[in-house]
Amino acid sequence: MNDAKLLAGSDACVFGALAAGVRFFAGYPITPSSEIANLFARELPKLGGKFMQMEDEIASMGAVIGASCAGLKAITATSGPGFSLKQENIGFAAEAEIPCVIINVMRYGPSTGLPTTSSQGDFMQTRWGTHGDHAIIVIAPYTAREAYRETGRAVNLSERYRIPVIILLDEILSHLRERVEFKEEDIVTVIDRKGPVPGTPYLPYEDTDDMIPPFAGFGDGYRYHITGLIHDKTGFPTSDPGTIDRVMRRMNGKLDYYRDKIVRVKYVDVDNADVLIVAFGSVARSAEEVVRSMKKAGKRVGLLRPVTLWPFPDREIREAAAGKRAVIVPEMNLGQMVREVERAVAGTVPIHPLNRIDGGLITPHEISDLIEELL
Amino acid sequence: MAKRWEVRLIGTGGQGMVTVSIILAEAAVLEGSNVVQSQNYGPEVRGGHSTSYVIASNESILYPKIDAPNVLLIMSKIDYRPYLSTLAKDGILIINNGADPKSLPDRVYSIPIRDIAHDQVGKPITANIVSLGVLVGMTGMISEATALEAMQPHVPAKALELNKKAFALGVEAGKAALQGR
Repeated sequence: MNDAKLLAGSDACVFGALAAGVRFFAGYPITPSSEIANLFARELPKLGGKFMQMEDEIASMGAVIGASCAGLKAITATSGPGFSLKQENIGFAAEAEIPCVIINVMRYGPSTGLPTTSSQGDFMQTRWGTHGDHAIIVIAPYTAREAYRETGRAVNLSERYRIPVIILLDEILSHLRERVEFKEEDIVTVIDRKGPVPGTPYLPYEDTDDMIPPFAGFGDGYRYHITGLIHDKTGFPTSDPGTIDRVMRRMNGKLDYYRDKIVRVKYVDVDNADVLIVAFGSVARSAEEVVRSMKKAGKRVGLLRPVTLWPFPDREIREAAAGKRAVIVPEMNLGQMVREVERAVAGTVPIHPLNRIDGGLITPHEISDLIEELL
Repeated sequence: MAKRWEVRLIGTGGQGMVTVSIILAEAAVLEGSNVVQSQNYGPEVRGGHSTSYVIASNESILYPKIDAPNVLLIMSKIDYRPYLSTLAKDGILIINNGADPKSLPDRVYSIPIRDIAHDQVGKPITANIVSLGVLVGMTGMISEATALEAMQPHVPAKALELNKKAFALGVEAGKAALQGR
């Protein structure tokens, strides 16, 4: 069958989210993420969903949280300064365990930066942008096809674990259109959040065995409290040290407990490689091109591509790096992911950062030149 | 598709050149090729410099950028000479004017695209579709029939015949330019 089509990275995210059951979008236009809002505005009403253009970025994140509390699968999209503005409410969603997905199309920063230029400067911000220890999941696709599937997965992870999930795109992937032919493995299944058991007393932050409290939607007939203050299982604030400790360890512990269901990495020719590249997003496309071209020249180079950026796939990287002559970490920033790679590899293999910060994509040549130096 | 095509289009925002790159990309998909299309632009809505590109190949396309195009079409009134050195070894450069071919370097072709749209089609706005015809006529990277099929959803139904005419005139001008060498 040839049902291939030309699909933009940004559009693929929208269709993936809709396939997973997203029926609410609130946002504020900002380059280079505005195309995502445009398409949601066109598609959501057809499915009985709601699109709201809000007065600003902060309100957009608030509306997404509100819609999710009311039982809808909700999403927003933003970039650079908008992502910074959303951080306080992302923290609220983390603390109150409200499922939601934030698509962040990275643009060059800090501040207004370069609106139409690509960057990977938000790697650390996605994890630590809001204050305090908190659970958050970050996923970075590298093709339009993967953007579809992974945005669908993001919605499902968020609903299942009650953790905010960030889809991290760069400007290149968001704006490019490419031939996509969906296969069976791209089908997005729909996973709904767990609700209360009818007829039993409802505790909104109950300490259940699976660590995930059931979530009653506003209007479902349950009366309870949601707050950004540290709360006990009734949802009301607490200052009892024992309760605080237990609640915070449960909320953050979800990431450890479900880590292997969340972490996804892709390997290309890693096993027999002399040199390992670790790269994500559009840079991983250059890196995979290098693996392909150097293989033709008889050189053994492998790529480990984290699809899930956070929780960081440290164990996978440690295992893949074992016995290699070098690990190369190309990034469009001054060296953010490389710190995590260093932590994972813990001095067992030499690590070489490759950083480009002129707004351009790291080319296959830049990576292969560094490899030639090392081999 | 026998080779990897890397086509870059340079225009002024509002000329419809990004649409041309999307039509080319959709046509390549229709013919079963892998394709990546994108555009670079400044913060302006109209009037700024706009560059779009298409990469089409039978191999999967990983690196999504063009380093050295084998086809470069410049619609804007800018000096083409600085772009000559960016071309691939087998690359051609097409400029939008009626300059005498003898006055141009080997790999540069001049075609009065805007004049064809204005004088022969009678609608200056169809210049982008004339340029689509030129690209197809000169490269054969996709068939004329597929290009027309891909073009159809991008033009108003009532202007379809006009755009078909613009496309055909472009194809003719492109082929004539090749033979002029």
